[in-house]
Amino acid sequence: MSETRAQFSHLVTIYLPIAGVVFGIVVVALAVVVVRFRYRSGRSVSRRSEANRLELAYVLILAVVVGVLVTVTFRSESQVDAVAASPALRITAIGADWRWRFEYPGLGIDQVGQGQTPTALYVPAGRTIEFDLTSLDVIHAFDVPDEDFQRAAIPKIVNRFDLVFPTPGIEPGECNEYCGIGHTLMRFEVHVLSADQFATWVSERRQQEGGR
Amino acid sequence: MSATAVPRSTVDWVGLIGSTDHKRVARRTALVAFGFFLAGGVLALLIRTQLATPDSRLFGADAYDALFTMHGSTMIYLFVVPTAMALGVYFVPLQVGATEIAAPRVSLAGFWLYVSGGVTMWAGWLTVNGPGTAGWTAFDPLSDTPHSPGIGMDFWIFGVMLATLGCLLMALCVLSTIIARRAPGMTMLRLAPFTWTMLVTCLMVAVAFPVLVVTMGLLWVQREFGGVFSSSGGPIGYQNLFWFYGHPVVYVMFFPFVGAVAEVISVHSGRRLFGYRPFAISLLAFTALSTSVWAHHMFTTGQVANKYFALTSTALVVPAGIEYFDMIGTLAGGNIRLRTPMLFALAFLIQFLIGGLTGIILGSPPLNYDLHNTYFVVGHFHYTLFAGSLFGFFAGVYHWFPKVTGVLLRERIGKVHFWLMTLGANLTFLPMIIVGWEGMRRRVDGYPGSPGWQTLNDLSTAGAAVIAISVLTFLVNVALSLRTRVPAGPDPWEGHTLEWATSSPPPRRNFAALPPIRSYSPLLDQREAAAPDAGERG
Repeated sequence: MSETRAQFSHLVTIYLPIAGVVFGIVVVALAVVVVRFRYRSGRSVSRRSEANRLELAYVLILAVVVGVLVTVTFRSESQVDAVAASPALRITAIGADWRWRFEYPGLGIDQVGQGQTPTALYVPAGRTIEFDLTSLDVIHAFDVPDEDFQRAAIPKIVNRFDLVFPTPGIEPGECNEYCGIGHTLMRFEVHVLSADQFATWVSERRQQEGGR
Repeated sequence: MSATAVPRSTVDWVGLIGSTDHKRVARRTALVAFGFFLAGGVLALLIRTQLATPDSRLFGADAYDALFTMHGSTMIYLFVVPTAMALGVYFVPLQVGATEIAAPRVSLAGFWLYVSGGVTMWAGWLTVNGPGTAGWTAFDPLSDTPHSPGIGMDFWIFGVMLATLGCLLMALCVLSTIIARRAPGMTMLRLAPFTWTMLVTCLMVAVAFPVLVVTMGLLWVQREFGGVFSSSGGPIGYQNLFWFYGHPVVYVMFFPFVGAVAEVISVHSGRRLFGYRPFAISLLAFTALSTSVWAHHMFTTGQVANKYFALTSTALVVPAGIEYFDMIGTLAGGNIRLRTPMLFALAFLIQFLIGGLTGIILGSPPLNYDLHNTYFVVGHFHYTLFAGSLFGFFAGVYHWFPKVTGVLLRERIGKVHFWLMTLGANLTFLPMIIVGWEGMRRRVDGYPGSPGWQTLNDLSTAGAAVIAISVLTFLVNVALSLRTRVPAGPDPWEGHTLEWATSSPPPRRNFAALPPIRSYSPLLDQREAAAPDAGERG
């Protein structure tokens, strides 16, 4: 399982330069043509209206570009969408108007934010985490912009995916499927902890849950 | 050039309501649609005002949701699509040399269905809960009764249904005209470039629009009785149905304006369209692909075959590239007059390219996982629809206004309009692409108040104001040009296609006589035959 962030950056380094070059070629071609053939009284106009061989060669170049883009996209997508057989941790993520709930079924922990506080999602850094994502009402989306990843939370459907959070720290999370008047505020917070910190957090939370 | 006073006439109410002349039906459709454009534009200004500061309290969440829902719905269902149809209803019969559109009363019914749809959708503002608030896509279950209560949402559903049905009827009339009403000699490979784009547009309408009409019916049944989208696959089923309409409609909102740009570029560079046959093939390829790319809107649902839809979507590079090749090939070797329509056409090519290239990026699922539902997407489709299609529309307006009204638009004010609109469009939509790349979500009434994001949003808001001024400039141009009239004559630009072979505006039966039709540029053929040695042959 590779990191979503790395896959995103990898594709960006291919797509953006190609887009930039194409944009540059078209703008320069247009500028040259418009200046070179700008109106001049008495200029004779070309009557040539086809260059099908040239155009066919050009189409083949376009097809090669499409082939390259599709190939790198397919490779990258296979890695991003892959689900590991034995993840380090399993989390069930549930969206409902307009709050997130994260359950750790193997650990007996439930995370739900109270009042204005967004729900906190605690995860260990650098480990493969399997998410089972669903919704209780409308369609929401689990989005962690720092990991360049989102997935829709759909009622009566469980979307399973793996994520790796490479570096410890706090990352904002948000609902990214418009879900009504609470959509803007339907946030969560990802606390990425080192392995030791995460183990400490788990034992503290289990004591709290057990003490209830 | 002489200026004469406006002749005043009494209002012909019967003709206004019931004329089946395709030119009058089209003019009324375009006027109503432009009214909705202005209304939708006001909503956009309100949205931009809200987003000028990170945590504005100008509108509450429910009011803001109504604003962006009605902005998108108005622009798509009530402005761009009907405008595309109006262009086709007006010019296709002229360009194929017909005296009349096929099934004229059906086209009139289409116009009135469209108007009633627009009125119905906007009547939602008068209801207790306000208009629809589920976005222009109205995804289920958000659009279901528990989550979007109130009759305003039902008004929205019936508004979309009626307007779409109306546009469907108009498109079928245009399609039938192309198939059955061509003048003698007008073969399919002699159709004007704009008529070719309308042909494929109407094919897509015929395939996609009935699906939306039925889907809206199903959505209403779901709201009233439930059971349609209630199963575990229901919400995804709705999205598949919606986007099966929703992606072809993107090209319905694009091709007529590509056609207008192709006409403008060839006429105003004095040269027939270069690569006509590849152009026609690329349109057909686009049409075929248009029905097989819809689920690229659903990459993040995890419920569709992402790779297949990434492949078909990326393949669009090929036909789009052919169109650019043919446009630039037409300019090369021409004698380019940089009049207002040509300026809009050139800006269309550059700005639409930004929309197209950002679209290819969004067509890659791993990139889409980051960018989906961000302002990158909003910037992307405004570059295609506003900086693209609307610029193509204005290229067509400046090109064809003399044909429709008999008078020329002012060139100097036109250029002011052009430069203001170009500045405004890029000032509004380029910052959206950047702030979306940085992660700002769409459809939110506030955002984290980092200085960078607020600056980018303020640029967008300022740009929206510039766009508003540019639209007012256009309206002033129209008013001045209609008041102090500069007669255009039948063919002010040395046009190539048959609409220029009749008076401006054309008479009720369109033509007194037709020139011989031996290519897709019959009028240019005549001029070239008169001056056989003037041009170089390749």
